[in-house]
Amino acid sequence: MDRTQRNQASPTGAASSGAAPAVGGCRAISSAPSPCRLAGTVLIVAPFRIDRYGQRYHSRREIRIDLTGIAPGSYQVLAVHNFHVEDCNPCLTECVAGVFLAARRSDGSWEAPERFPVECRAVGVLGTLQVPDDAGLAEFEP
Amino acid sequence: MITNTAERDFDVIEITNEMPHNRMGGVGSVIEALASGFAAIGVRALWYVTDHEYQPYEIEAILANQPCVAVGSEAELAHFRAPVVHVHSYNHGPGLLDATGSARSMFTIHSLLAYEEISNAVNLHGSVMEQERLIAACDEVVLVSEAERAYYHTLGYPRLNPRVSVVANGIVPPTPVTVRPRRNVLGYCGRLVPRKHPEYVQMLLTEPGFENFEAMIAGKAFSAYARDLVHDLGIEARVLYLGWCGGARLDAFFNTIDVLVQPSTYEPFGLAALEGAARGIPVVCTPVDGLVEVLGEHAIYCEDTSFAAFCRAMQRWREMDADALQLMGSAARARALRHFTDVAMAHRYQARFRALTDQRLDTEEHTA
Repeated sequence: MDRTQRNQASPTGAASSGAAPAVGGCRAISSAPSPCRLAGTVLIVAPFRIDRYGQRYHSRREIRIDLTGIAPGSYQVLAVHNFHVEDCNPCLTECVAGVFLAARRSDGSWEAPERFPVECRAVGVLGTLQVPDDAGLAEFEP
Repeated sequence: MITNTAERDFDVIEITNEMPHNRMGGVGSVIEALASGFAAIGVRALWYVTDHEYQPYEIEAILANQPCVAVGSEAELAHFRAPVVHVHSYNHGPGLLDATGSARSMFTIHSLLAYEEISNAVNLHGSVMEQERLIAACDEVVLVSEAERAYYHTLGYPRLNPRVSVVANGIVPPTPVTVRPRRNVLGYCGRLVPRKHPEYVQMLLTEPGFENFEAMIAGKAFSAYARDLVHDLGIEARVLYLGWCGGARLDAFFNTIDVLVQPSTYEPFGLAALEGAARGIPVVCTPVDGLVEVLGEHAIYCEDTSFAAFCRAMQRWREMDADALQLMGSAARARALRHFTDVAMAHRYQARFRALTDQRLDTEEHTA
């Protein structure tokens, strides 16, 4: 399943929102609060920006992911460079970000968003998500 | 079915999976040029979007920004009439032409999927079969280059449909890139698939003479291979992945790069090369298929499709002086504006529509 969120904004244009909080490109060096929070069975990712690879990755709108259709297990909540949306922003150092839930495989490794069919570039870890296999609520750890 | 027009009769119904809005690939760009070309010469077209992947908010934007659009099922095509239906679909059901009444049907193949399958080493068997079914079902097949026609014959497709034409694509003429000093930026534009070899321009950054260059990659679909390549070569800081570029971002990309590279092993037409050439930007490419037909003698060609040949061609580009590059760019732009504009493409299709409706169906092949 492709869990990459498509950007619902119209072409981004040159303007920067400036409102999105910066998130560390790597969890180990991140001191900013995670943009993610849980509201019942919905993972809400507030607008964010990440500086990495000499570029700035923006997610300009709140993203809501309904977790009721997600298989139980552990997930990394990854910020990705979204390669599926047509980007019309003439500022070439700014890119469109999205969110990918990378499942933990049975061998302990995480799914990679770079692989087919998602084919997006991981640019940061926003946290870890536990989806229970009973009726309990999911848990998020920044 | 949802539409933004009250009209039901048109000169042609253009059936497509994508429009020039959050486009999935090159077809959206061709549709954009075809729309402007038809508008310029007075062809009244309905743009019928079916079997698409758009979200409701995207459909809303398309209907708001593009005249004469309908979005619906294949069966709902029956609500509209035209002497010709012109299909661009690469994703469709077996009954696509069932609701088109007595209209003659033309199918433009933007890429022969059997060759996409071979050149990208992927399994597209189901899609290849669907394309072959539509080839057999339509009244006329259009290919986008003479090279594609040769592949069509190699595949034995004349047995499916012998009525074949070649209609080259066109683009809305862009503003030329003005003369400016080199910035040492190499550009690649296109889908990041194996047959286009996007890795060549990145590997080149570690070759002698290119230590001070950077690369900009404009295109869809990142990969684990690309991730590992830039990491292992230690060039993450010298490669900017721009994602899927459109509109002002594509213009900004072309305004930034010194040279466009297209080292493909298979290229049905070469839309990105045409975009570069029409701006007067030097193009270094392989001597294959549509690239040669689009660029003529106004490109720096690799001797073959190998990385070594690509390196040699890039060295030749690096050693050319500014005047020679300017001359080549101007000649390439002049060729593009003479043969490959949106209006020229619209005229070519208009001629094929007339031939299809005025003449009985025969087995002739045509070049429009």
